[in-house]
Amino acid sequence: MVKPTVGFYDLTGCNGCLLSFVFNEAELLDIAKHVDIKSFRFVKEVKEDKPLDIAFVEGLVASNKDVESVKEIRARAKVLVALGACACTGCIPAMKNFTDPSKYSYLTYSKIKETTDVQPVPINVHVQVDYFIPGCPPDKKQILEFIKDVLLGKKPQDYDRPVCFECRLNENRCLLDDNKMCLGPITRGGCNSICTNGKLECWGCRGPMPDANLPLIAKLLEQKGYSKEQVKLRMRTFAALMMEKLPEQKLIIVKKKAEKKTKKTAKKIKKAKPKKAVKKVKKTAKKIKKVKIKKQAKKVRKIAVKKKIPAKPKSANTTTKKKAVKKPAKKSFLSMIKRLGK
Amino acid sequence: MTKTIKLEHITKIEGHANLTLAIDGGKVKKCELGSVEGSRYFEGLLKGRKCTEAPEITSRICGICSCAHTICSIQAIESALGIKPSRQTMMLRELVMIGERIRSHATHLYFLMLPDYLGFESALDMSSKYKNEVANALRLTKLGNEIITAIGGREMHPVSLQAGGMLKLPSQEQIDDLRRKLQEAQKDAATAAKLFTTLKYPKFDNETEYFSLYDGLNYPMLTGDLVSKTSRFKKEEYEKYITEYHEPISTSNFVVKKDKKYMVGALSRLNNNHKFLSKNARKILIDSKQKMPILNPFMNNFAQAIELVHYVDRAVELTRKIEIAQEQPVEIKFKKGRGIGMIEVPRGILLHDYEVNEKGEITKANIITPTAQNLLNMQEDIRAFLPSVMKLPEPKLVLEIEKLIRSYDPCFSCSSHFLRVKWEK
Repeated sequence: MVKPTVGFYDLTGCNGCLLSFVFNEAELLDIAKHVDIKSFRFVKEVKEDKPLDIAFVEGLVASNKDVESVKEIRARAKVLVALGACACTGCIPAMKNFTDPSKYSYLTYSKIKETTDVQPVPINVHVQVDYFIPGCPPDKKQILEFIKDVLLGKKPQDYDRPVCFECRLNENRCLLDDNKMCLGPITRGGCNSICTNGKLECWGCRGPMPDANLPLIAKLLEQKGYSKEQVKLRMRTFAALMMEKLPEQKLIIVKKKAEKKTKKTAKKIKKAKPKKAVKKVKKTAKKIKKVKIKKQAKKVRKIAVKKKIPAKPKSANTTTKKKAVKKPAKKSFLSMIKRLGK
Repeated sequence: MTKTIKLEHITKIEGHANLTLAIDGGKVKKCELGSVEGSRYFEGLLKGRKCTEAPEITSRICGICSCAHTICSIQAIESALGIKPSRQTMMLRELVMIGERIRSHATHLYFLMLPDYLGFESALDMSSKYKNEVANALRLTKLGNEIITAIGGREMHPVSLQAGGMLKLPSQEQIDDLRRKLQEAQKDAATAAKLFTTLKYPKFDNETEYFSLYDGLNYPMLTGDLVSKTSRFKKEEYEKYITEYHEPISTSNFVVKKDKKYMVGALSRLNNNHKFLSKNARKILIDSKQKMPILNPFMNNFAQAIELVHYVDRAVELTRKIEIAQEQPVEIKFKKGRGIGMIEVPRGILLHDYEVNEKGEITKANIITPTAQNLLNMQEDIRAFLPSVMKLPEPKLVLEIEKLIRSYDPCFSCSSHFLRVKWEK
């Protein structure tokens, strides 16, 4: 059997997801027997430029170099896997999108164009992603399962239940009962509820379930004494970009006047200059803001849907672009995960 | 004629870094080391968050040292809010830190640095010929992970560690089980020490100021003052001595002590604290006939190997001492204040500095990581080391330079994510 060629790459991130893979100590040497690891900068010197069967990418896009790298990797890889929360949802660094620039403008990097003129976003904003392995860090066994499935020719399946499900199976005391700000009910499981096992409330690092009822959990947490603002901040910490639109990038040094403008005018501005990649995400996000809790129930499903933004080679003509824009409202995160084999 | 060498994507280190060298007629014209990691603005993102959320967030600065960031952040909060954790909590924290240290040192020594010395491209290629070594390394990494998982709940970004105490305590059986495993691992650590203390390191002495924590009682970990051969100051005074500045070549800041380079990490710890080593570790150090203090940056790996033995011994001692008593974390009452956490992490001194308002929200955060402190020293070492290898053909020269960079065990992910800068004029 020809060994599939695999590459592990990291963009801006903490290297934790790649480590998570390495922490399969007992299986590591066996994996190396079955797959041909072509690149793993963390342990291996090789700089590869040949085609790959699978590329795992950790980290988010936060500099010009990252944009280049991820496009280059995409071009070489048959299957591209977003590994971990940064690559899937943008994780903590993507919170910058929702943070007032005054909070970070004093930090020095405002002087480096390399990193400031790029919006911190998950990799699927720039390239098409075939599979997502979420989590901060991703469950090491899940990475193993993924590789095993690929070797067996099986379609890797994603875990399709909320964290609460596993948490119950693990017989933990419900942290909501202890008035903790637990996001377990809306968060995709598959982590064996590892945080709540350790009595830490779920922070939602794996992103919301496609049918997550965000307004309801917000209301519940409000009853527990958490302000809307606090809950919003918490939900934004790991998976902001799966629930909300990607705001137009705020430049660090120059404070945009647009911030003060009313929503209406802000919308107009956006309409006038739509960012291609962000277009679709905005639509759903608008709904979130407009609709009040009660009305929202219906639309919740849509909110949680993270849309895939396909890579756009320059040659792609506009009609295909339009199609891509119309369709994906129904394409859930989950369906994307189940795409293998195509 | 000027010869320029550009090293992009230096491998087998954590994070991304570039090095630019220009050599003209045997003289080094340019030597610039910089981080090219995208910026993540952690310190900015912390503002406005409840301080109790900080450990979870800052843990994500680094996958390798997630426990270190968590604990440092916790200690900063505790110092701001005036919370005193119990003795048991402190011992458990130290144990987690040791777990991480064992894992980090073993990974770095065997997988990132040893291939250079054995002439392999990577640990994966090494695995067939050096089966025992690789197995030994994997066992140690696994042990480190088991310690962290038992106490912290997860091998990375631990969940049970919180300001005030532990959310969930390990059971006494778990501690006893760890002790048995640690005792078995003493052999592995000794084997590692034998290998890495007898390795032929390039001869290159370049003295600098070696900074580590020092509490006069133990090999430093969670407490102590900042100490070097010539100076000693408290963590609260750090701003008086340490300045951060920024070079346009790097997305990381450089940190200096009164405009001078200094070094932190295993070598500094060993130089300043070798008298506190465990019996086994001290014996290995004495047997190696190594003169103290060590001035060769390559010997940082030697120091790591000695530490490996020490920390396994220390962990055995801790697991003997710990008798799990059920206790609740200290209740947190918010108040205005400022807190500094300063601890020894695998790569040196880590500092978290928060200002908190009455509601417990962070109003200002400053984080200084070890690699940022080492950056200038690293660059100057490369500059000083270059003439001795200049005659080598380029691939060899590059390897030697990379060896030097790797000997520091740098972590560029961490180093790039801070801070406010004081411009030096």
